[in-house]
Amino acid sequence: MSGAGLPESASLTASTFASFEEFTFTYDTASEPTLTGLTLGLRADQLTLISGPSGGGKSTLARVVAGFIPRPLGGSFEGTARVLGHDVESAPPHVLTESVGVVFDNPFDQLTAATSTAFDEVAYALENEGLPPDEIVARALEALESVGLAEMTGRHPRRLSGGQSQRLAIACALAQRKPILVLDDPTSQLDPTGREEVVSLVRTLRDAGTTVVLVAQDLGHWLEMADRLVILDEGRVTADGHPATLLTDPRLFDGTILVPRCVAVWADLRRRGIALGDTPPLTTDQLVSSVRNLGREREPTP
Amino acid sequence: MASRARRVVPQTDQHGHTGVVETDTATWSPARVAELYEIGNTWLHRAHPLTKLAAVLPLSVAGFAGDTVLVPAIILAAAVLTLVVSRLGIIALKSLRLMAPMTFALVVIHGIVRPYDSEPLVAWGPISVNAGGLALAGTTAARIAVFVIAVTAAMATVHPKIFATALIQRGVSHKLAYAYLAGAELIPEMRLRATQILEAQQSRGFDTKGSLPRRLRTLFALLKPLLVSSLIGVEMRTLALESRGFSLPGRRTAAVAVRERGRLLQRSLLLASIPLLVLAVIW
Repeated sequence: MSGAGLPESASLTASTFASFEEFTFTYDTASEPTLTGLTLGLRADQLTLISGPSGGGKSTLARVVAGFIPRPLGGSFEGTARVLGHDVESAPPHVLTESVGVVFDNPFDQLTAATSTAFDEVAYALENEGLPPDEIVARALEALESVGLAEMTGRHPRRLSGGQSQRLAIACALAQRKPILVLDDPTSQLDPTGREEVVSLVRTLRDAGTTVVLVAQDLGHWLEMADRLVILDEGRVTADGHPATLLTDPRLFDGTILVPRCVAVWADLRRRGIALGDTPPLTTDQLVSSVRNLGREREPTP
Repeated sequence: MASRARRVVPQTDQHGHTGVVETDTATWSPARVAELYEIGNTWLHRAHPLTKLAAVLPLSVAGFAGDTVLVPAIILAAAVLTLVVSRLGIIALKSLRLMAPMTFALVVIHGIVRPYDSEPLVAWGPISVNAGGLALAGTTAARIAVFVIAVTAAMATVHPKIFATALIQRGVSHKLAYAYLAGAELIPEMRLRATQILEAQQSRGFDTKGSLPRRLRTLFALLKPLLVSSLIGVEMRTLALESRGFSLPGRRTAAVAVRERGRLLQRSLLLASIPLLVLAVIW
């Protein structure tokens, strides 16, 4: 599939916050590398969507960006990886975690398990930063309000729904004023309501200019808001570019990624000789609009 | 079982301390805030968390004075009475409930199984009950009960978060404070996880109720996924903690500042343990 889009240059430009040069990473417990010769640059102020088959290295890439690799997770690597100007190999563990917020796929295991209210959960991170009590309270409340949990400050984290827990995890990162947010398949374990809550929040964050690195197997909800789509397979970048451009390549439809239904319909119609435009619709609404336009074009003029 | 839970909102009190305060006692079921904590505003709740902790030592040491059940029984009775008068009888009940299996074991070990020189009080064939054994079992149980009731009263009248904050304010490592907090949440956490696994198993047609062998089979079927999910959870939690600045160097603060007081009393209580220890040894 190489050639669907060339991997971006890894040179550190003003807007690139993370760069990988021939980066190969192997977990201590694995015999094969999870990331292999990765060369990639991630730009700030964008929503970068990372997808690909299971075991392709998506979550590992997210963990490198988040500052969890090589410490505390451990592993060996070759090449270089720099995040926010820091070499991940030599940077102290807290340097990156101070700037990068993370939300994992499991809504409950990512809570600290040491707090008894949503407010405490958000405040915990700020207490670790040594902020004055007044500022902790103000920031925690502001963050909870911004993710729509203002009414849940006193609720036990375990009593929140999956979607609310994910929003709580995002609130923790927002309260810490982290400029970069890494979301590792944040909706994979949520019901439709929870998924919609998180998608809506991420859209708001993206519109506000937050830098987001989003790992997702199912692209359905994210394509529309993604500035860039990176496909990882067997630890390598196999496609990289704007989603609308990238998804015109039929080689991506071989099961490597879960293609959204609207894109699949567009591709199917295209194969049957019905063109709904040069680029695929990224939402159902866009698909419906394209079909309507096609209908109008084909209507006989009176 | 429905249980009371606290609802907290951030506020600033009349002393200028900003933090979360308890505002109501809504009914929550089944998860509890913390297993031990009892909501209230008694004199024991208002006492500094470390004063209560410091009181555990002299009380426990005093329980060892004398070689009979008399002293620990008096302390125990006084403690129970104090708790009941303070409308904290539930704490006394919890402590005694906690002691029940241990007391039974002590009676069996010392009163029945362990041979004594004294004449048996009652004998049924090979089984005999000794007065000396019973006295030792009673004394040991009363001494342990004094410790248990003191610790329970100290821990059940302070929210774990406030206790951890008080420890950190006195220079205890935040990692140790986290261990305490996580420990307080461990039982409800594991219970919730086990419930989720059991529900998942039931939804797949696994019969978890019925006879003893079937229940044992359920237990074994539960253990493996519970262990595996807990281990996976630990890794994710480690990363989440890192993301929340757990490893950050420097001073910790707290949204809820515990007012510093009672240092002299705390020191006095700890110092009082020394003569009490001497008394316990020589008496």
